[in-house]
Amino acid sequence: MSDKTCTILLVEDNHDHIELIRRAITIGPLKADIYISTDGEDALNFVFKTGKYKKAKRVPTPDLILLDIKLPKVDGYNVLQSIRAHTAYRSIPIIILTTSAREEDIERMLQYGADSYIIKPSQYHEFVAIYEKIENYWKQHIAT
Amino acid sequence: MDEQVLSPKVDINREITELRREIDRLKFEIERKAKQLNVKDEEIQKYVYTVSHELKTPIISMKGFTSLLLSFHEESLDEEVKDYLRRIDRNLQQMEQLINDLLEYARVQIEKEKFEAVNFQTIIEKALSEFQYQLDKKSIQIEIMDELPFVCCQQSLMVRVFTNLISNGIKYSRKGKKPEIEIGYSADEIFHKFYVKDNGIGFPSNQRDRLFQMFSRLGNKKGVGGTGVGLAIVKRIVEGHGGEIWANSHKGKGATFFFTLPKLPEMT
Repeated sequence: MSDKTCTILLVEDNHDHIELIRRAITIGPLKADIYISTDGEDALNFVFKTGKYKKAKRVPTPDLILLDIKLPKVDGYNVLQSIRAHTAYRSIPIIILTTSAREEDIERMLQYGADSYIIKPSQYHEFVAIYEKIENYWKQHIAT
Repeated sequence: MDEQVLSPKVDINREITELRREIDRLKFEIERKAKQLNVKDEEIQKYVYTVSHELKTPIISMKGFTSLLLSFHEESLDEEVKDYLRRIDRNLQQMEQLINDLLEYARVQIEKEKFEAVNFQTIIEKALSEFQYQLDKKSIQIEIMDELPFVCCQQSLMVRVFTNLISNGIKYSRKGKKPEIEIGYSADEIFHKFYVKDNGIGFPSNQRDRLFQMFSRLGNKKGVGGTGVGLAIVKRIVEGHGGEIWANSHKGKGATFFFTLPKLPEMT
């Protein structure tokens, strides 16, 4: 495991789900700094360093974004499209958080440019699966 | 009789014209009502879909935290607390299953533009792939008639019909007896007729009307999972294709599910 710390932007408006996903990320040895945005507009401002983040001292560019779809202000699909359309930030890996394992929903998310998706955890094996997925992403795409 | 024969030709023609107008008016009225019904149906589907998704959000939270406690804090919990948490978890699972089934029922959309002529052999093979594990382990036996027809239908939904009927036959098998399922076919001039027969516990014949109702489980086998939506989905698909479904059984002697599909679905 790399000693580097993974910067994750978690975009989720439900505080219980934030806690569950945060817990899943911290199951294993992966070092992660987790930043939270509770609506799509704030997430875009964080990534593009605009709005309230424009004058902030240090706003890290996320190594990975975990993105819910149903969000206030700007929904997940629009967040995804805006980031993918931005020349500087289009390559940030984005994993969609979903409650639905429905094929059409997943296909749509991938068409919009998501790298992958994870089902929100509600059982032990799902917590582990989320951790493993993020760890794999970290190893294969980010830490190298 | 004489009056009719002697009626002037012009009167008959006028009558025919009026009848035609009336038929056209009725046709228009039927089409208008059908469109209204379709709009209502779509609205209900959207409503069920949204409500189901909203209901899932708190369930994920409750299940997630219950699972966190049971998985990551097990040592600090006494047996009574663990027992209660497991009960909560079981109930949440059941609730989640109900919502998933409701969602699935709402998702069944008959789309005529997706109808295609499909060999039913292919449809059944696709349905069987869901039972590959049991078939490999020889824990179930499924016999399929050799000659199956091409039928104009929405393939993915028809696969679902067989998946649900086979799954039903396996679920309601007799204790200690290997489930045996037989799939067969016959036809008349207008309809294809399929059947799925099992050697399970069957159901009392006076309960057959309840079989296809939503959330209806006849409750004659302990430990059988499910919410009673599977057969309601089957009925919705078959009727959406212009067919009919029914079942025969004698308690303890297996059940046979029959369904028909029109040979020319556009005529229905």
